[in-house]
Amino acid sequence: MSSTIEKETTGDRLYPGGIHTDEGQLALIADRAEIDRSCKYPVLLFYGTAVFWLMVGTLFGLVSSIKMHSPNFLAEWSFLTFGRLRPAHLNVVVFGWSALVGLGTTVWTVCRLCRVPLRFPQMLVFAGILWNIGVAAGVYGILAGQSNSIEWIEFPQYATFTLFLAFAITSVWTIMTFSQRREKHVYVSLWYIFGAMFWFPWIYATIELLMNSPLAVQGVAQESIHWWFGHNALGVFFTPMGLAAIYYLLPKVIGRPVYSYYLSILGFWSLAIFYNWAGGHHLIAGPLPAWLLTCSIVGSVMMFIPVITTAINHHMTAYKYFEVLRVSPVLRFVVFGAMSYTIVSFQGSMMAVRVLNEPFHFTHHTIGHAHLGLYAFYTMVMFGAVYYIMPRLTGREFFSRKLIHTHFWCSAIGIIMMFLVLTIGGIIQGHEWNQAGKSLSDCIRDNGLIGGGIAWFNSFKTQQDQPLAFMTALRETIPWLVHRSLSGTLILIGHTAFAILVFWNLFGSGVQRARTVLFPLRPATNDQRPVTKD
Amino acid sequence: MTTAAYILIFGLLGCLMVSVVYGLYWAVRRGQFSDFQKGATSIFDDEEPMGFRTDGLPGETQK
Repeated sequence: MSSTIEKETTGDRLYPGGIHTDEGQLALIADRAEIDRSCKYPVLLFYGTAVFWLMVGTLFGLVSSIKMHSPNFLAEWSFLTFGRLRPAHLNVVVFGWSALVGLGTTVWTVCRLCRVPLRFPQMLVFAGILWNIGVAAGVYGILAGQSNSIEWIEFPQYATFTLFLAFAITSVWTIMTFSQRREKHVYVSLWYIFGAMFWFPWIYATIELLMNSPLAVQGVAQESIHWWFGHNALGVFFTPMGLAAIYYLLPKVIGRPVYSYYLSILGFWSLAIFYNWAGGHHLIAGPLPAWLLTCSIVGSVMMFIPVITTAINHHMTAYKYFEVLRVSPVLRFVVFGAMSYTIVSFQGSMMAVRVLNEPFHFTHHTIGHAHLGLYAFYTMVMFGAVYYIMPRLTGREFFSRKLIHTHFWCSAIGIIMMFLVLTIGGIIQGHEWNQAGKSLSDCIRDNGLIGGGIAWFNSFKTQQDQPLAFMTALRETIPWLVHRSLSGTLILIGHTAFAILVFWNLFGSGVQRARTVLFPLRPATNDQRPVTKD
Repeated sequence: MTTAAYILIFGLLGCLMVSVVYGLYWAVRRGQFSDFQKGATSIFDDEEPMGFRTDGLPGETQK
């Protein structure tokens, strides 16, 4: 075998990328290096600032959470009151962390899948700076008391135009890269990415024009538009970006194509058709026409089609390769995110059904569901994407395995705990608002843990239509809210480990690699033997 | 004002729907759905071939 054999600079093992057999392969490697080089500065800017906002958003979230059970905590400053801090948490996490990390991943993935370098990356650096100015201005506005009080778009008007302009530049650059592609096939991740890049400006422009401008509508129309946007921000922006990353990273890391490419395409188009109908289910039992709500419920239930197809595909692709989870941090985060996507989507469709929606609506259960979607699914997948992409751009591995493990376990346990305590607390809260004649704690005090639980459930049957006093039901939720703060602390520890890894990598720590394929390629089985020249 | 707003939102939604239908039409015309197996493997190449994983823990090469 005639070949040029190159060794890893810090190891003694060889991998196929280092065995050059012909000019074509050399050109391939050079192309990939060129692609990574072209994306480097914009993607690292998106990632670095996203992690900064992640830390800010996590702190805001934790303080807001503590205020839920200890209202006097940091209450002496107006900008730290719950009414300002909680929307600041939401908007920082959505527009600061989630959007920036998603856009960074999108830019790199589009270039890789189209097999072309990024043209004029300076424009994307400009867009990244603009986006950050918009987020900073918006957060300042909310903390200064200038929020417009519409959930998801609390940023004042002066911040939103900047965000829109930055997004428009990124969208145009993505489409420009696509139009110059050298790979003829449009891989399923690209479909999802273009869905996100194309749909988000529409929904964002619509909500801003109809809720936050002189054209603003009033009354029932306002709320229907509001939740049409609120749900679509998740459904046609973050979800497609998350799924795009899973469909690229999952097969790429284990070295095996997706189980059924047909199902993946079916999943995309059924999501495109059904997801944007679902927003109205946030207003069930509200003063909206029944037909409008029914349409939304049908759309929500039809989401079972893309969710089941995606779930089958993810699970069957990773099936038999779970051993790789032990050695691949990327796969750990991505598989956790993929499993969470299935759970949160099933839960969302079920919650849209009227009879199930009634006891959960307006309770902490809904907050648990939202965190399962935006954190356990989307954010965990994006953590995986950062672990995969960032070392390939900086040319350095992350410097500490322990911190990666700390990050994963704190985030995973933290979000599972948060989901469970909010779900259980929300169920108790909802039932006591609606039906219960006795509070859970009274029943437990009188009858013991198990007997009290049974007596509490029985009280629904015997004393319906006699809701408890609001304050009684509220007090019942406090232990669950305290545990939510504990889970938030765990997540903060995980994020601190992640931030240290990212900034240390960004500023020069970690083993240097010269290769575009960073790690030694190994057979994607449990066989840990190195790949060597035969 | 409300009428203008509804014209705006339905106009935007109409454009969105047309774009989705056009995307589907474009994909069928360009043969994007004609060979699924080839599509699934398009993310692999000689440098990152099928059958090999591309991620590991830091320092794995130095074990």
